[in-house]
This record gives sequence, structure tokens and C-alpha cells, in this order.
Amino acid sequence: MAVSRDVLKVRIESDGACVVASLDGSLDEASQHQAESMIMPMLGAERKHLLLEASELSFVSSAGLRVIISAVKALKPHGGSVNVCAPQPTVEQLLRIAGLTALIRIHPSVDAARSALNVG
Amino acid sequence: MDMDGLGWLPFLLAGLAFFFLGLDSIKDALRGLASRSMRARAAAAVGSPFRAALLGVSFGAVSQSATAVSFVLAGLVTAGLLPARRALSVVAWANPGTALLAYLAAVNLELATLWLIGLVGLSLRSSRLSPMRAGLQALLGVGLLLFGLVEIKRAASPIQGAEWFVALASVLQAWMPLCFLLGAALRLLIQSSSGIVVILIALCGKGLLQPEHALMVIHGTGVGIGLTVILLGGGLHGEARRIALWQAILNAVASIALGLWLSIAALDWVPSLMDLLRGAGMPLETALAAGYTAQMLLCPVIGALLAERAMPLLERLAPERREDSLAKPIFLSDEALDTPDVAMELVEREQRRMAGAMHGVFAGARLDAAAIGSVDAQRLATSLGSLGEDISEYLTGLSGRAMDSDSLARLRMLGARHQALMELLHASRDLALAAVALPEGTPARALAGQLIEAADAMLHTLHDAMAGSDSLEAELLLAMTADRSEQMEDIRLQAARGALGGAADQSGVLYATSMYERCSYLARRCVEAMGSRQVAESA
Repeated sequence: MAVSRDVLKVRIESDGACVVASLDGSLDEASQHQAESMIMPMLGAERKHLLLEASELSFVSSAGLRVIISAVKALKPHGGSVNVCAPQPTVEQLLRIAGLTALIRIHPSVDAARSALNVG
Repeated sequence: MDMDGLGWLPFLLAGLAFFFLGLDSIKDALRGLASRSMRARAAAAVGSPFRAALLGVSFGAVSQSATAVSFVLAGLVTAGLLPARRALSVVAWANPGTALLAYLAAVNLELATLWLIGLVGLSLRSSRLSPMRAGLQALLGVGLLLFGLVEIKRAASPIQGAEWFVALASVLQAWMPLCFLLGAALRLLIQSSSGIVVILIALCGKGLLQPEHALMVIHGTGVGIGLTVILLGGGLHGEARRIALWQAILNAVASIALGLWLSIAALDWVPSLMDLLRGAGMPLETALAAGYTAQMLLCPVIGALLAERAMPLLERLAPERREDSLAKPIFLSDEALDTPDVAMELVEREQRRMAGAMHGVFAGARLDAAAIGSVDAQRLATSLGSLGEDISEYLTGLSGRAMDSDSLARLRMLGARHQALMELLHASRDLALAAVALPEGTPARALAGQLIEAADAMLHTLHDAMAGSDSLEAELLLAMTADRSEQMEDIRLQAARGALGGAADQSGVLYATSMYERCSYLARRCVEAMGSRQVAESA
């Protein structure tokens, strides 16, 4: 069942209190380190909301879930949040099964996430 | 019995099948026996070099097979019942044990093996003997392994009377090294050095082989034993493989040393072993048996000489697999039992070690190709089960010690957490088995794969929570493992609508979801049982 997946492309934008990470491909064991090394240094007290733009994210594994959990751990002390925007149905289903919806928020788009966070 | 043409082939194949079946049965059953107290008893049984030697000689004499002894001991070591270093000594001394029976041609190993399989196999049907089940299964494994060797030997039996073999023996007279090679090949095929001695006595009696050449064939059997052990032990790893390699090295070195002596003696530089034995008035039959015995006795001598260097060499040749190393506790110490707080700290470390490795049981069921690696999930689950039993036994030992009320409360918490951890291991293994049982490429398998990925992340978080110095990790896990019934109900509805395939797939997914829910509940219980200040705050 295990198959090789697409490589992950990560694009990071920082905008005020928000960090928007656009993910394209697979967030798995092979790309976990890459994603963490690009996203985690951007997070902190000043940039305490992470928005993961996931419309092109085709697959998330346990390693990907752990990247999200790491981000939650990093932002929680600052009162921040992790937001997954426009995930594909299978990715959203995995987030729900894993119970991550108790730690993160899911939005239909990045703009909807900004509105919900009231950060324009 | 028609042994013409390919008539020997089914005997060879069945023999190999019984051998490996027996080997697996021994390993599985011994793992079930490997409690801390059983380990202590087994270690005491080989506690001194003399006891180890006595046990080795007895094993060799009873089994009549250096190969069988190697694999039974490999099973004992893998199960953690015997320390590897002491097992090396037992293996070395098993060789002279096998030589004893070269003098006793009347012993019918096949009949004894059939008695063993019959009595033990039927005993396993009795519910009264169920407390002894693991021990009986190990014995049945020994019986199957020996029966396999008997059948392999039977497959090679036509060689003795074959015209080509007699002709080959005549040709060998011309070149001593060929005799050595023939010995190695014969031992590989016939699987009985004493059987080869009997054949050689017959050939010498007919004048087809000189006594010196016959002795060289006997010396070659040592290399044959080594090759047999290496070939049959191809699937072994770690300490089990080290035992097999040790047997191979001892026999090969003894064999080559005596072969060189005989070659030098052939140049009339020194008297040969055969000259010395015959010179002492031994008849040919006894001299050949004594030559074989000398070779077998040389094995423990070489073992003693190489003892210091053996373990580092074997560790390099056969590094231990992580799955196997997890079967043994590395923190628990009997000395610490007298200081309950220290002992409980050690239990916590061992539990964290167990939790940290547990996600490996999902290896064969993961969707993430990059995460799979080379972990043997079944082996890992068995090892962690064994480690868990050790921790349980240690906690039981600790509960008998005097301690204050705070320590007693901590001990109860550790006991509750351990019970949850053990149940979590079983539920995780069942979830993995449920996932891999679903047909590849189906929606049901993809969904079960998602359950596996989610459970894997949950176990990682549990480990972080158990190792964490603050409350955040525990808090995250408690949030993740809150009531999952809504999500699971969605999946069950999908299954009921037929979106996940036929009835069998639906049933598989339903079972996987219930196992996932159980994992989630048990992971939560592990954290709740931690009872630490941080968790209390987060709750």
C-alpha cells in the first residue's frame, strides 16, 4: 500500500502576525525535516498564527501530523494558533481522525482564516 | 521407499520444512517463557564454566547434532533466557557431546524424535497442561527440528551405496585435500558426522580407503558443520546469528587445524593422529571414532583460547537488530529494588523506552513509504511484549517492598500505566494486522492506512508526553484522544453505505476503527495514569 509520493514544495510568506506556508505535494517522513526547518524558525511571539495553505497538499502521513503538532507546541505558549486552509478531503479526514481538530482550526481558504483570526 | 531418481527430493524438502518449522516454534515458545525469574534460573543453570560445559555435553549427547544444539541455544539466547556469552561456552561443549554417540550405533534418534513429537504434541491438546504450554511448544519445536534433520539425513542415505560414491572414494586416494572437501560435502548432505564415520569404517574395511584418508574426510566434516549452520541460520539475526557463527568458526578452525596436521604428517615430518591412535593399539573403528572425538574436543579448547576476542568479533559479524534488543530491559536492576524510589524511576525509563518504540508495530501497515524502513513489526511486537512482561514482574517484585504512602501511590500509578501500555501494544498490533488484511489499493485499505498514520502520530505524542518535562505534551495528547466517536461513526456510516467496498472490507474497516478507538482510549489512560503535577494542572 505504501507508495512513493510527490516531493514537497514549501513557500513561506510572512504578514504581520501570520505566517502563511503554502504546501504542495506530500508532507511525509521524507519531507518532514524540510517542512520543519522552513516553518518552525518563522514562528514566535511576533508571528504567532500559522496558516498552512493545503489545497495542493496531496498526502499527509504521521510525520506530517507531527509537524503540525510541533507548530502547535511552539505557538501555544504565545497564545497563537495553527490553521489549515482548504485541505483536500482525504487530508481533512486524517486531521479529524487524528484528533488534531481539537488543536487546530480548519478553514475553507487563507482569506477565511485571516478573517476568522481578525488579522485582515 | 523409492529413492531412485528424484525420490530423495521430498525427504529433503520436508526435512528442511520441519527444521525451519521447529526452529520458529522454539523461538516463539521460548519468548513466552522468558520471564525475569525464568531468566534467573536459566542463568544459574549455566552460572559456572563447569555447569555450562556439562550442559553443553548433555545437549550434544541427547540431540546428537551440533547443528540442532546451535539453533536451540540461539532460540534460548534470542528469548533472553541465556546470556549470549555463556551460551558460547555451551555451544562449544556440545561438540564433544555429539561425539559420544559415535560409539553407540544402537541409538535410534528417529524413534526417540517420534516419541517426543507424539507425546508432546498430544499433551498440547490437554487443557490441564495449559500452564506448561510454552514449555511444551518449545519441546515440540525441538522434536520438529530433530525430525527435520532425520529426514534430511534420509534424503542423503542412498549416497552410501551409490557406485559413483565408491568410485569417488577410490579416486580420493590420490589427493588428500579432496578427502577434506568430501568430508565437508558429506556432512552438508548427510547431517550426521557419526553416520559418516560408519560409512568410512565400511569403506576402509573393503580396502577402498586408507585410514589416513578416512580421517581426513572426518576432519572435513567440521567445515561441513560450519557450512550447515551458516546456511540454515541465514534468517537469524543478532545474538542468535552470533551463536550459529560461533559454532561454524569453532568447527572450521578445529577441522582445518587437524587437517593441516594430517597433511604435514603425510610428508613424514611428524606422526599423524592416526599413527598415534593405531600405535596405542586401537582397532580401526575405534581409532576413527577417537579421531572424530579429538576433533570435537578441540572445539571447546579453541573456544577457551578465543574466548576474550569472541564477542567483539561476533558483534561485528552479526550486529544486533533493534527489534531484538528491545526485548531486554536496560534500566531495570534487581539491586535497585531495595530503594523503591530509584526502582520506580528505572521503571519509568523502561516504560518510556517501550512507548518510544511501540509505533514500529505499524511498520508493515503504513501509507508512508519513507517511514517503513526495515523494521520487522511482528518481531518488534513480540520483543516489546517480552519487555513489558519483565516490567510487570519487576513491579510485582517492587510491590512486596516496604515504602511510604507517597511511594505506594506512585507505584500504583506506574502499575496502572503499565497495564494501559501493555493493552495499547496489543491494540496497536491488532490495528496493524486489521489494516494489512485489507486488499491493497481499495478505499477500505486507504482508510485503514489513515487510521494507522493517525495512531502512529498518537504514539509519538504519547512518548513525548511520557518524556516531557512540562504539561504541554500531555495536554496535547489529552486533546487529541478526547472522544473520537463522532469521526469513527462517520467512517462506519461510509462503510454502511457501501463506499468502502464489500462486506469483508466493511467488516475489516469496522474492526480497524474499533481498534483505533481502543488505542486512543488506552493512550489517554497512559497519560492520565501519569498523575504528575503537570498533568494534574493541564487536566
